[in-house]
Amino acid sequence: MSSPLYPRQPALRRAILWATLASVLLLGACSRGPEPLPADQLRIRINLLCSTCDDFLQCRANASTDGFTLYRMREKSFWAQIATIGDYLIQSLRRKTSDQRPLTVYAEQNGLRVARSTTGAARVDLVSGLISLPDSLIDLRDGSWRSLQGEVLGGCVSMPRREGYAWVRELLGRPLPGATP
Amino acid sequence: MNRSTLSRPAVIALVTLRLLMAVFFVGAAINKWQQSYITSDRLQRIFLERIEEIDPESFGAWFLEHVGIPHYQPFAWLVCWGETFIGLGLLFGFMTRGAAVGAMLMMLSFAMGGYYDASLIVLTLMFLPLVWWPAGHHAGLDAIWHRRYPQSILFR
Repeated sequence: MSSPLYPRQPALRRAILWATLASVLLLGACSRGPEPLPADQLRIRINLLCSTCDDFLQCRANASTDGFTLYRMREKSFWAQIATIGDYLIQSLRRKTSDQRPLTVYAEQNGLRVARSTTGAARVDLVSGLISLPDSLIDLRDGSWRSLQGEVLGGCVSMPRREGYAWVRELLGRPLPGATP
Repeated sequence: MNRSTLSRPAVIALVTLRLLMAVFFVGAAINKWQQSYITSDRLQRIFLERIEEIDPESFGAWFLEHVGIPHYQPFAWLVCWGETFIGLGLLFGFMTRGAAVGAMLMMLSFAMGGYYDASLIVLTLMFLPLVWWPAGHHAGLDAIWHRRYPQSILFR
């Protein structure tokens, strides 16, 4: 059988196959999906391709002086991390702009630390620049902390991971080895 | 699949992979020897820094706190000599399959011991071809030793 789409000559068939593959890759590269906000426009930066990262976000209400809520976007499950390897490899064709992460919510008020919730999830969207939490939203552009209805509750900053772990260690009553209690 | 069934490009790819991994391990071993892992408390200080960077509720943190930090010397020996033997085995194609299995076990140990990272999965899988095919039978000492001791599993 021979047709313009299925020529008899093997060399021509190979050429068509490669041309088709190249076209698909080129088209894929041209439309990599929606554009994420540039990192330099974000006050809070989250690396979507870091699947083993814990990100701590410390949010203070406008009226509060000595208390805060600490949102901890935890590292992903083993299989989600495997999937991230694929995301990393195909990012030149399809960039990752959103992600869902397991969430733990802690709070500190008057020096008292508590874990409020350990079962929720946080959705990070780098196109809209928002983190959607079960009870609120965080705007990555200016760090504002909003209710689900959009009312401003306060502001958030990202807490360095080491400090976040140190905070959790204190909550758990597990000091670092060699640290004086 | 034995040696004769591998095509020439496959052999070249296999030997290249073996040598790249050898360079990786020899480089890592040189780094450990230069930092006097065996004769100093360098590894303990590294563990103490690492434990601050990982989830306090993870197995890795528990392992470092209760096993790695108090008993760092045996780990320093294991890491130094393990990386040295694996690197040299891969470089010279000597007991290559054993060296590749050792490398995979070492990666697994690192992951369990508080150094887990998704890239370790890929790195571990990269040793599978060296376990599956006789990479040391090409440009390696396994070819000679296998002829001398055909029954030994060490040189297959």
